[in-house]
Amino acid sequence: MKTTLRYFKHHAKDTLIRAAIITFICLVIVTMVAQGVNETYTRQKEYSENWYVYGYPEGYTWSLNPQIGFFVAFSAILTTLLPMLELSCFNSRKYLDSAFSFPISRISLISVNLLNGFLQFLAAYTLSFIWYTIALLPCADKINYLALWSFFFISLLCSLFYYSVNAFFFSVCNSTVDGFLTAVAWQFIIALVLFTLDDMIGGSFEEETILTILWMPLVHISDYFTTISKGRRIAIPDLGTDNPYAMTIYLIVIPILTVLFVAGMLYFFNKKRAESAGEISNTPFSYKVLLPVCTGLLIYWAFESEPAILSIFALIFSTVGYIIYRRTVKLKIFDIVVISACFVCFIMGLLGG
Amino acid sequence: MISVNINSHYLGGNLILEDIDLRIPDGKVLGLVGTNGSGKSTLLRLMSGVYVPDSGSVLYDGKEATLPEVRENVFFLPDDPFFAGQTTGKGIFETYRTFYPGIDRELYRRLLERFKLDENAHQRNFSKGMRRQFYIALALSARPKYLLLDEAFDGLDAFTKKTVIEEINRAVEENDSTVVISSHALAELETFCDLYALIDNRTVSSQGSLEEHAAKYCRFRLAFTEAPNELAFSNLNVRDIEMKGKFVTVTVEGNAESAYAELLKLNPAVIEQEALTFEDIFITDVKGGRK
Repeated sequence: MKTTLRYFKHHAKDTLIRAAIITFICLVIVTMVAQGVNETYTRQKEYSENWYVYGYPEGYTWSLNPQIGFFVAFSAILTTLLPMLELSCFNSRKYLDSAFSFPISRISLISVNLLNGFLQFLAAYTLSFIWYTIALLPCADKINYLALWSFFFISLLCSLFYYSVNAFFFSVCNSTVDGFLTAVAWQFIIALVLFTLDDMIGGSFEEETILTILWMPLVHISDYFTTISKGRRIAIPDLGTDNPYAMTIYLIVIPILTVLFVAGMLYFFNKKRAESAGEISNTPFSYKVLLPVCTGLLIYWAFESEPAILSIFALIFSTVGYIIYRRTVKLKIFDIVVISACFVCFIMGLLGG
Repeated sequence: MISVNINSHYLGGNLILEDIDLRIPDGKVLGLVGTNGSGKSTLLRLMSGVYVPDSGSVLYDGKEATLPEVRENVFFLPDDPFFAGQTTGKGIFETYRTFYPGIDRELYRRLLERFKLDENAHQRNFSKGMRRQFYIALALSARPKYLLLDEAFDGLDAFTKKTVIEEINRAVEENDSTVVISSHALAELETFCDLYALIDNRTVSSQGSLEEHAAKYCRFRLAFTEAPNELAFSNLNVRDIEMKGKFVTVTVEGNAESAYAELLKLNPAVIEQEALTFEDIFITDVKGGRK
């Protein structure tokens, strides 16, 4: 435990400059946004004392709906990049030669890096938020601070989840490039699968419902669809929520999934073979599954929309990609099962559609 | 005591090591030798806990190498240690101090002074040999009970090799350390190793005391009046033979006196016994293993 604490202190000190740079960038952006909000407020005030924004009735407190979208962008970008910055060292065989021989358990080692990354996010995010509320003081009478701070806490919960998802997918890969592509791909792949399933069964899901179920950060970089943005409505009954499952998703499902992803990551990291660092990512969580699924999706959507030639291109592109990834044309039983399952699904979908 | 018992270990689907059975008593220096790609570095990584054997175990005083409390007493110096370009020696020292809080700063400074290294210089400005010296200084300063050095003399000049050997000997004496050192510098290993282990054909093909092992072999140079037939030597346990016309160099396994007597029966014009170096023994062992 003492070694872990010493390592935590040392690592935090080592990454202090990076944390300061991230926080500084966030503060600069927040200052610019707050200045824009204040200017809008001043201009509106010149026209009328009883102005209202975005369809809210006269006298209603300002929800700051579009103005907090950039916090979602912060969350999306930082919770994707920070786990990669913190964990990429574990993809270097040279680094592992030293790190895994140190008198510290692998779980402690990765936990320290993981915690340090999240604390960097937390510092940048919290300071930016506090600074934002201070910078908005000139129009304080029109701001619903309850909505703003409830958004802050809900967004932190979601960000922790994003962080754990990205860290999980990044850590199970053997190289930084594989990890990055895998983590980002998983942010979209579930949405694409759900949209495809929705299309196959005749458009029963609402687009927003699908995206609300997904939580993935980069999908939600646009404030319009953001789950975080919807999340704050839980704390403000007047605003209501358009998703009956929102409360369950935010307060029960997200924390449970976060714990599962963190536990899964620790489990796989403890089993990680240092020998594999930098090699092909042979995990089922990476290309092995992603490539066949993406190929199937591409073919499905190409057939659905435009001529079949696109599907053929998609097939050729993916086949070549798969061969490059596997460095061989020989397929193992697992690959054959996944590829067959994907194609059966999408051909059935095409025939059904 | 280090007990290595590895049934098998694979890298990328290829069997690298099998049936390794190695015991290293405390306070001894073991030289790990073998040809390129024989698995020396893999074995050291397995011994340091970086790799976990696919089948088998590595124990330090009966405890698994993968346990952090065991690794408090183990210092592994890989052949090419990681460093960030901007890192100074001081920065690396601080990182190691995090994990080895008992690291001896005075000794570290003394060694840097002896190696003429500036701890404030960036590692990227160090040559390969300078980096190696720096890490050796770091390893010795940690005063570990078990010191594992991979390619310890790689990139070092003859003078520095001598200095490093002196410092390792001092560490063994002062801390009663057990040192496992892999190297191709056999002449250097010969000067200070108590034990050796030869990795060949994925396993430890021979191990033991260097002196005892050297006594197993004897080498003779012979000159004949006429070129002899190789079959003439079939009565001897020949491990290596080099024939150049009338001149023969033969390495025999077994007692030197009886070999000498046997060779005299062939009526050589000249016969003389030659001392074997560790390198000669190594080559004889490897050649013998491959026949």
